[in-house]
Amino acid sequence: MDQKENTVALNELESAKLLHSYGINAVKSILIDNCRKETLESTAAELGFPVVMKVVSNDILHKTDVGCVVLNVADRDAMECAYRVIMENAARNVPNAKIEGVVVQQMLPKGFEVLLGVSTDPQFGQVVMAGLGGILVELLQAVSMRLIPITREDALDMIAETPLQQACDGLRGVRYDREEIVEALLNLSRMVEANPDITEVDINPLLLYGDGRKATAVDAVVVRKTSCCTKNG
Amino acid sequence: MDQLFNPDGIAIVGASSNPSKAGYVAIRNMKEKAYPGNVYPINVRESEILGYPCYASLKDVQGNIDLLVLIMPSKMIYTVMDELDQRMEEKGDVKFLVCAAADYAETKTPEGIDRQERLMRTARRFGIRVVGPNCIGVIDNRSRVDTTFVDTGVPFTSFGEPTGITFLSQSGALASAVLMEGASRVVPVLYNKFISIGNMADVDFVDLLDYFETDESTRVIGIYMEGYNDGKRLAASLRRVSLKKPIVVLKVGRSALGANAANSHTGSMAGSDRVYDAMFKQNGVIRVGTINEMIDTLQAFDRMPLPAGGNLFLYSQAGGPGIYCTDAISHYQELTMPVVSDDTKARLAASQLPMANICHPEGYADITASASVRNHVDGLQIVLEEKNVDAVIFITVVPTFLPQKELAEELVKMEQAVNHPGKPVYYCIMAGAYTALARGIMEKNGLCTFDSPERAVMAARNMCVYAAFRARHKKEA
Repeated sequence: MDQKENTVALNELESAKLLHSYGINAVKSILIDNCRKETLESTAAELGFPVVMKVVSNDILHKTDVGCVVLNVADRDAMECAYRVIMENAARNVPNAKIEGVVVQQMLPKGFEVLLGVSTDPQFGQVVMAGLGGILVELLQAVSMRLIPITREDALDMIAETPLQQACDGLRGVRYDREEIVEALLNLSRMVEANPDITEVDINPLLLYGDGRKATAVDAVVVRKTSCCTKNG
Repeated sequence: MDQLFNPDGIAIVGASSNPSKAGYVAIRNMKEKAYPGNVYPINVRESEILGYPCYASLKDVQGNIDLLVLIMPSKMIYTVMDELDQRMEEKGDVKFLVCAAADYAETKTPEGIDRQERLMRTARRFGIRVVGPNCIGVIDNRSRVDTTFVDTGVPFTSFGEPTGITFLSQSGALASAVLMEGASRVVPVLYNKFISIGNMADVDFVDLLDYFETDESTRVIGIYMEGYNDGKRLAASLRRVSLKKPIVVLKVGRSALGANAANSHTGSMAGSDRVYDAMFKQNGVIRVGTINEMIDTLQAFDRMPLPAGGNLFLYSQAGGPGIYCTDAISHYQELTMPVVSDDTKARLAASQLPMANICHPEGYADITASASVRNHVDGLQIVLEEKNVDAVIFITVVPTFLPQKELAEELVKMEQAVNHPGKPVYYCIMAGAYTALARGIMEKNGLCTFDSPERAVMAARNMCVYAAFRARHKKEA
């Protein structure tokens, strides 16, 4: 039995919405399905500039590879242009994909990257994870995990087991707030406990600023089990 | 489970008069430990083994049998179970069955699976609880039961008093190694209860953890584990028990290859090792990496009070070993070498030779190789009286001009005066076989000795981690 066959990944907007409803701050995003002037204007008014734009489709996994991600969109004209480029590339490179639209996302300044996640063990069920964010996470094996539900002390232990500890103690003059990671972990644990059908969550990164700006989840994907009837639907 | 560890009458199918056979050693162990109940060897050819009269079949035993031990070749299981069916219909006395023999379901062959099924059919029908197959059986050194066929090579009389250490093993061979390693120590370790559960056809980790939770003679539980199928049930049981008693686990299968080997060994499904690791940490279970660390840690828990915190003073008689040990302590974030009061420093300095190094660095003293027995003992006493010290590592290398018997006896005297309740002292008596005399005296009197700083530090760290878990969850327990 292949587990993947029975699961579906929520799109970025759905994932972010779910995280947000459990108190995890996610980057502000708006889904648009046209590039009319009033659509672009209201989106820009809500998000400001610069923004990132990406295609939203369950059929497109690696968006960058098919030319469906545009970074650093600076104004309304660039927004319109990006929208058209993304739609054209999607139609040309993945002709059969069902396209829901384009997500416009605030482009956040660089911060300290934390990885948070959930995975499911066949014997022990859902576990939450924390570690250094970015692409080096696999390489460093610097991830700690706990079975859900976790307590505040568990969350503190998780941080202490990884290099996140040093970052919270102070890194090159910046001290990242341990409490923000603890809160996010507790919320994540609460979220998956209330939703036993969630098999996987990947938040990489959660950006920390260490200067009062709020920690924000940027790339987040939630994977849930599908019910048996919609297995191949 | 009481009748498993304290049975009225034990029958052994596969009993042998050949000293090199398992069926002989089991009976000899029982004889040597002077099990006070009846032992019934089942053997068609012999009239007696080691003074115990033999019986041709289970049917012939008139007296009560609480515990039945099977050490015969596995292919005979069909005949033996037929005889057991008959006995149970007539007398209905057997409550526990230890199937030591291997070549059952763990082989994953149709024949092996069928043999185990035959065994379990009778067991289920009559409500007999089964330990094994594929195990070495059970020991209780208080009720003097020993169904194992392990020869430790150490005479039973040379062991110390029964400890509060209970050991539970998924592997029979690993269990034997723990028995033998314990027996080879300066003062041989006599475990409280000891059981190997093999294939877990019936009795498993959770059954035994639940029993040991309330077993009064069990102070600490050691486990060798390859894997368990119901992770959530195991986690819940470990948590409940570890809120009352320390649990020390040697869990194998850290590597992908090791996990694969575990799967084919006792037929258990090994889950992700990293999740096991997280589960142990979350539930206060101390995970160790080696058999020696296991026994060291079990002894420390059994003999010493839990420390109030991680402030560990390093009291050394020599510079080199002191620095060596400082490195080992620094490795663990749970341990801190504490700052002691000026008063303690002054008293400590006054109790030592002028060249002694007092608290450079903080939490450290080097009393030098010229230190007398008095210097050793008085300084340790002063350190233990300091309120900012939770535990002490004491290191001495015992030069030829330091009388080791007197040192050991004075340390014992000081410990027995108990001016420092709740503070463990890890005595690291270096210099190998030469110090066996001192260590023997100290161990016999309940002190914990180690042959190297890193082993003492490891035990100190493990005690400290568990103490922190207990302190954190005080309300739950």
